[in-house]
This record gives sequence, C-alpha cells and structure tokens, in this order.
Amino acid sequence: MKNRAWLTFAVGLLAALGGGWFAVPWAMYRRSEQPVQFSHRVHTSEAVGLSCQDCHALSDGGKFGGIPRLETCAPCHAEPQGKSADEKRFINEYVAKNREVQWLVYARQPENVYFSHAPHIRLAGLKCEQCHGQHGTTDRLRTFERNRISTYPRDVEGYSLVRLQPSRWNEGMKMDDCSRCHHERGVEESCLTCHK
Amino acid sequence: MTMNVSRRDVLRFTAGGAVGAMMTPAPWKALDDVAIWTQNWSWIPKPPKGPVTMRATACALCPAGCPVQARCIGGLPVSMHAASGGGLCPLGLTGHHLPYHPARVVRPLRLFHDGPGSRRIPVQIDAAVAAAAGAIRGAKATSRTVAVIDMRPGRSVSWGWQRFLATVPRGAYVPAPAREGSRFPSGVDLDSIRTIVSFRAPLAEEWGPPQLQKRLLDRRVNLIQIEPTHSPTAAIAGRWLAAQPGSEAALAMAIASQLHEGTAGPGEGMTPEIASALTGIPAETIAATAREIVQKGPALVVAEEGLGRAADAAIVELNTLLGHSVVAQTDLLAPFAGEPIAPATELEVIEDSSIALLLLDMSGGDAPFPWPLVRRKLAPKAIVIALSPFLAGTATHADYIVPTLPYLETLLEIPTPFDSTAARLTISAPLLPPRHAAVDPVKFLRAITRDLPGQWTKSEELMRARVSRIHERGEGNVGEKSVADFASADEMWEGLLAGTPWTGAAAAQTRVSVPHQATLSRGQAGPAGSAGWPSLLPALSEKDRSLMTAVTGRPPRQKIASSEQRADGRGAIDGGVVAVNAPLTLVIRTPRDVTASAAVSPVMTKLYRESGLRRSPEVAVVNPATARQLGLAAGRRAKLLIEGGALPVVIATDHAVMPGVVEMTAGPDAIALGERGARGRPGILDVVTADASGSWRTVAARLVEA
Repeated sequence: MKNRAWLTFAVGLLAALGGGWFAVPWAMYRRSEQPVQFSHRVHTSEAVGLSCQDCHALSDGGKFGGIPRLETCAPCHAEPQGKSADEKRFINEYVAKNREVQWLVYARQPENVYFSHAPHIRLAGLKCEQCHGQHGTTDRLRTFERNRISTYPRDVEGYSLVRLQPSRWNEGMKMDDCSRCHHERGVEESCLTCHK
Repeated sequence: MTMNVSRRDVLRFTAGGAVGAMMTPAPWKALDDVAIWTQNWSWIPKPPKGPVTMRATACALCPAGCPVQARCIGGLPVSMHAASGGGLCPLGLTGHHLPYHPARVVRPLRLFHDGPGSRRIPVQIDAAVAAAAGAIRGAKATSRTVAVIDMRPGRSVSWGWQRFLATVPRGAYVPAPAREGSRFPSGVDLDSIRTIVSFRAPLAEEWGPPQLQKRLLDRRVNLIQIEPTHSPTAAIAGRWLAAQPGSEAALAMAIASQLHEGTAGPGEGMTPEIASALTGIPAETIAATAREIVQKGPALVVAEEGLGRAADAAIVELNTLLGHSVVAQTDLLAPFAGEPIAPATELEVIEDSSIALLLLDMSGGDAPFPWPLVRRKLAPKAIVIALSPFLAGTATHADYIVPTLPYLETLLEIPTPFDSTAARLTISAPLLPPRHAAVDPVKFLRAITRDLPGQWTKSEELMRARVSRIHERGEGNVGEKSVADFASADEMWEGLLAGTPWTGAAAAQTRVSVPHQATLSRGQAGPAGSAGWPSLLPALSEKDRSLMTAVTGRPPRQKIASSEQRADGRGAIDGGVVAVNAPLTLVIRTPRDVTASAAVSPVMTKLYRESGLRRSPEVAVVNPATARQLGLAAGRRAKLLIEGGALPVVIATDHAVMPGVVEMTAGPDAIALGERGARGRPGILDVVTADASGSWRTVAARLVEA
C-alpha cells in the first residue's frame, strides 16, 4: 500500500516533469513557415559573393534597413536564378506582381524597445553572428516560432529554457542579455537608453 | 487485476504533479509571459510604425525654454533630445509622455469641495462660461475683484488677461513668481560672474536649463550655498552656510553691511554678531563670506522664491550693492501697442475676502502657490476656474476645470528666460495632433466678456501680433538670420516655428526690478546717509527684531555648524541640541515639476521610486537626533501641525537635515503612479500659510505621533 502511494506520487511527478520540460515549451510556441524559402548560403557563397551588409544595409546616416525590400531582390531575380519551386513561386507571386514578401522577422524586438544597429556594428564592432548566429550560412529558413502568450519571437526569448550559457546567441535577446553584454564591455546604460 | 483509483490516489498524483511542475521552467516561464502579455493589451497606446524623423521645437515645460529635438516615428515623438549641449532635465526628457498622463483633463469638469477629497462631474463648457460671466457681473455690481493668477507670465496670452482686467473696475493680474527669475536681476551675463551666493537655490539640481548648470560647473564658479540642508548643491559648494531657516534676511543684511563697511547702506545695524545670533553661523564666518564675495567678484546673489518679504528685499538690495543695479531690459513687446492693461500686482496686496472670480491660467504650466494664501483672498461664494491640461497641482482647488492643450499639442510661447542677457522669444511648436477637445484660453476669455475690444480671438493671433511688432521694429535675429532679412512677419513666424528663438538686440538699460515694492516703501524710513539706501531693518519680522534687541551674548537656540567646522566632510549636522518643546521649523522644497507640468511621467515615477532621488510629499524628513528627541522612528506615521492645519506624514531620517528642522517636498507624488500621484492626497501646499514675514517656505511646525 505504501509502495502504491509513492508510485502514484512518482507518476504525477514524472508527468509534470515531462509536461513542464517538453510538452508545455513545445505547445507554448506557434510555428509558421516563411512565405518563401531562401538560402543564405547560396547568396553568401563565393559564386554570388554577397555579404550581410549588401542586403541588410546600414545607411550612412546609421539607419538600419532591416529585411531587404523587393526592390533589393528584383534586379537579380527578374529572371529565375535556378529551377527550385520556391524560386519559381518567388518570381511569379512576388516579383512579377511587385508584391512585398511578408517575411516573419526572427529578431523583432517588442514595441517598447528602441534598438539601433549602428552603434553596435560601427562603434562596438560586433559581428552579425554574435546576436544572430550562423544565420548567414543556412540553406533553409528556420521555422518561425512565436510565443502564444507574450507574442515575442523565439529568437528574442531564446531556445533554451534553463539559460546555462547566456552568452550564446540562441539563448535570446532579452533585456538581461543586453545588460549583460553592456556590463561586460563597460558600457553605461539607463532605462531610457532602450525604452522610450 | 483491477485497480480502483481512490480519491487519495488523485491527491497523491496531484501532489506529485505540483512538486514536479515546480522543478520545470513551465510555471515560471508562464508567469513571465503573462507579465509581458499584460503590457500589450490593445488599449495601451502604441506608437505607429513609420519613418524615423527628427523634429525641432522648444521645451515649454518650464520658463527656461530649452531647444529640443524630438525623435519621431510615424510623426509621433518617441524620445526627446537636447538640441544644444547640456542635455535635458528629467522633466524635459519625458515631456512627450505627459499628453498621455492619466490626470489629463479631457472635458470641462465641475469640482465640488464639500467633503474629504473633491467630487467632480463632467459639464459643458457653457456652464463654466456662464459661471465666469455671472461672477464678473456680480463683481462689478458689488465692487469686488476679478483676479487672474498667471502661472507663466510674459506670454502674449498674459497680455490678453491684463487687457481684459483693464476693462474690469477691480481687476487684479497676479503673475506667479518665476522660480529662478523672481529675485534674479534680469539681463545679467552669467559668464562674467565668478561667485554665486545662493540662498537655498538648488543650483546644481534644478536651476534653469541643464546647459546653464553645466556651464557654471565647467567654469568652476565659486558657489556659496546658504541652506539648512546638506543638499547636492551644498555638497559641491565651495562654502556651505547652514543658516537657521528663516534667518536668510538677517544673513543677507549682515553681508550687505560688511560690504559697505559700516557706512550707511542696506543692512545698516545688522552686524555679524547680531546675524550670528539669528542664523547660528559664527560672526567670523559671516565676515569671511563677505570678504570672499568681494575678493572673488564679480558676484551675484540668487535665491529660491518664497523666502519672505525681508529676505527678498535684502537679496535685491544686496545684488544692487554688488553692481547689478543697472541691467538690460529684457521685456518683450506687447502684441498691441498703446492699449491699457492692468498692472501686475502681488497676491498679498489684494484685500482679503474680496475676489469674486479667480481665473487660474495654468495653460503654460503650474507654479508653487500655497492654496491657503489664495483662499484667504476669496470672497464667500467666489468662483475659481482653472484653465489647465491636467487635473493636478493648483487646479485641484478650482470649481471648474477648463481643459487646455498640453505641451507638444499646441503652440506655446516662452518669453525671455532669466539667464538671457537680451530679450528672447521662443515658440514651442506642436508635434502631436490634439488627442482631446480643448479650449483656447483666449477663446474662453472672449466667451466670458463682451467688453473686450480688439479682434483677436485665439492665442495664436496674439502671438502673431507680437511677432509682427517685432518684425516691424526690425531688431534682433532669429538664429543667424537678422529680422530685417525676413520679407514678412509670416516668414519670421515660420522661422520661429522651427524652434529657433528670436533674440533681441542689446536692449535699453534699466534699474533692477524690486519685487516687493510695498516692503521697500515701508523700509524707506528716510534715506540713510549720502548713498540714499533704504534701511531694511523695519522689514524684519517682529521675532527677528526682538531677537536683535535682546542679543546680549545670549547663546543661539541651536548649535549649528558651518561647513568650515566640518572637517570630516560628511556634511552631517549631528550634535545639534534641539530645545525641548521648541517648535520645529518646516522647510518646503519644490521640485521642478511642481513649477511646470503638475504631473510626473510614469517613467520618472518608476525611476524615483527605485532611486530615492525624490521623496514622496507625505514624507517628513528630520535629523535622527530630532527624531530621537521627539520619540519618532523612521517609517512611523505622524502628524505635522502647522498654523494652516494638520497633515498626516511618514517620518524619514536623514543626517543631512539640520536638527530642529523638518523638511517636506511639495507637489505631485513623484513616486505614486498616475492619477493618484497627481492628486491623491492633500500636500503641504494645501495647508501651508505664510508667516508674518510673508514666507511660506519656512514656517513653525510640530510633529506628533499619529
């Protein structure tokens, strides 16, 4: 009888552990595919020879262009650059119709935060990979995940729930991550530096 | 084998599940996400997406009129930046939050003060107009006064009020004393000043524009701070004199008497020894301070307003003695020439119980006006109407609130700031569309009276008329461009809207203005000596005069040290002996937002709460020695008793406060959120009255356990 009591308790414990560590985190995110698949590796390969800044440009005034607009892609993709189904769809659905692709932005910060790429790239000399990982060498765009409650993208929240290695890019881009990096580099900050 | 599931099994399973859940990130992550979710409710305003632009305007939250650049997204300001060196003050930095403040008045209100707190109901604007018009008619019939308290004098709208009051038999125009400018000789070139003698002015904290503070600090101006608290300004001062609060007049007069070395002049008869008995500062220190002022000149005396008639007069005359008797005339042209206007007067010279209609023009900001001083002037059944963007500060005492548009939603005019050496006019252009319906002060003025001549019907028309007159005269510059180079007044107006101020040419010279004419005329018992200086001694309070006559080696009531006696550099005033049963002295501090918006941004509320930079208005700060003698501990609730009434307070202790002194902060509760912060509880300005010397910043008080 005593064993049964402990067994029942253990079953509940294990069920909760399983749910808490695997089921709930999985269910917490809504997953969506990008409208069109895209290979960063091809674009940054020697054959094409583009760098991150060629498409995700920072203007002379310091304004970050973010995700490139169709006008950036259209000059090269006026004609199909290959025979993939995605390329064909991109040409037919977007370039030919002059319709912007509604990309899902992995690292979109929430409304209450103002983030400028210019000081981080030009003054601090950070590499794109330090915050965005090896995104520029991937063959396919990852599935986009958005938190169902907070609505934050997974890249902002981080992929690990325990955050044992907070300096890794995929541990997230939350306020603690920004502050940690600032403190490590001796950069002074206040609330109004990021929150306007 | 069958297995029956009992209720105990369910409970054990649930218990195991609960323990297990605690060992997973799920509940903690859910809590975090829900907290974020609550910040993103649909009704929370979000700046729209759009192009990023920088737009220029001028900050109209205080009379300094700092030029600002607003970073706008989709046309809406999201952050404010200084357009020139020195940064912005905390109020200016968060000024773009204020149009969204919960205390914003969105419709005309009728307030009833018939119980604890006030009830309010929305009314039509016609109700306020009818009440005002009726009160004007009643005032004319009964020979009572119609008064306007202008919280931001010098604007074109201010001229409109004065013009209106000239049409009323007993019209009284009361400009609120500007915090920095009331005792400040206009037109002084601060860059030529080597020593500043400050009577309780928070020079290093909130005095004028941040650029000025930076300029003074960069130039290492010799600062002599006279203040009962070891404030941040006192901490950086070259000499800190912890004078007994209320003894500022005596100290100023003693310094004056030292400056003219015993010959006839201001302060004649106030020897350092007598002043020592009144201030608690050793006579040698007073004499040394006077010598320092002479040796490290040119010197200038500045003071916080509200120190009392004697202190005001003494400080003005001390400045005259220091060579600031002839200064540049920096007044701006009136919008229309040759029209009669009511002269400016002081509240205290208005007869008690005589005001039938009081209009509070808070459309440009608020000012620290102790309400009991105003209430004493009101006739029975008087009508008080506040024109204000916020239901906060002085407006909470009105019978009607007429909503006006706040900074960034409307054109506002900033007349010559106190630190300008020439006349200056700045226009603060709106960057936001009005979020709520509001009433233009001039339109309201036109609605309540038919006796007002002229065709102007809007504030903007008055502002443009003033600009036209400046353009006609052709003097000065808008930025780098000479006024004569503008083809028309409209072109000049467009230049002003871009945030660039007009600065006048070297102006005519005039004698320093004296704020309390009545006091000086009482003090002029006859020219003393060849210099013809008025004696200021009769301006002292009875208490001070009796002390003066009784000063025959009597020890001061409190042992008060000056900065010279404090070698440890702690700045504490411990060791003072508070006379048992002696009343305390209440010292009131007024932060900048009391004199400006009457509302504090929620962002600053959070910062103040976490940093302790601002204290809540319900906190009474005393020296630990005083608290011990009174049997009060920090954090305990107590009752502050002053002549005007009682106020519940929470005790805090601070070594920086002089023994025998209780310090309180006036204004909105900067560490309470939103509406509650703006008008949650009665504050010290709701109960304090002026003492015999006219000072409300220093009054006798008692603290008793609640």
